[in-house]
Amino acid sequence: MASVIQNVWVITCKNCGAYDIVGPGHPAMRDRGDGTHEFHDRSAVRHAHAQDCKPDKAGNRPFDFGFMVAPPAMQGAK
Amino acid sequence: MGMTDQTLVDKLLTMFTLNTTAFTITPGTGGGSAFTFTPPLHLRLFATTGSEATTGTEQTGTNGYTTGGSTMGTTAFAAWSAGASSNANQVQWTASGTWASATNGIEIWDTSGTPVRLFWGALTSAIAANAVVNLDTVTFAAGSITTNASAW
Repeated sequence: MASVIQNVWVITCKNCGAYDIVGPGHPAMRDRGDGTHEFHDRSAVRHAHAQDCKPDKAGNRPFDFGFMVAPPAMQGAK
Repeated sequence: MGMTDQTLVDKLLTMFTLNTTAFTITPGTGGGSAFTFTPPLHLRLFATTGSEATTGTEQTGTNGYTTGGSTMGTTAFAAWSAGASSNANQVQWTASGTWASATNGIEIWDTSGTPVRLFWGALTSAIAANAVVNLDTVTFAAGSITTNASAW
């Protein structure tokens, strides 16, 4: 069964649990020009409430980069 | 043109994706080759996506990813209805180093000695090579993989 999988990635902050939904059009994604995109820029992942996020020892507010396909994200049809 | 009875499609896909016991299909006289189908199903990640006829190039089995993928649980899918279902359990990998391979697609296989490929597909949002690093997780949540055989 052939599938085209319409997915985005949900990337979660390790400090506060906030997340950024990363899919086509997000600055972290690169358009391959063939109808698909790829995640390539970790520095482009942000969350909206960084001011509420406890910084780590280095003063950063890092994401834990839990790449997750969230339901419903994939559809396959021949 | 519609072709296959939908109730039969649901039954067949139930047999392959919810069954918890290995079974062998033995063709009658003049039939093809017998094959054994063994649960649990495994979700595999692919650097090069396969096609309808052939498998792709699986992601390198290092740094938290094991060649052959990870189990989708005792019963991999939810009940089938109208030729469609989705994965019943979460599948997750934790990287122990940088993944040098891109993650461009997935495939779902059984775990027979000679594994049988069931489903394949390309991710519209892939992950580039070297974008997953140590301690990152890559997760497919329950319900995130929907298969639709309504046009089978």
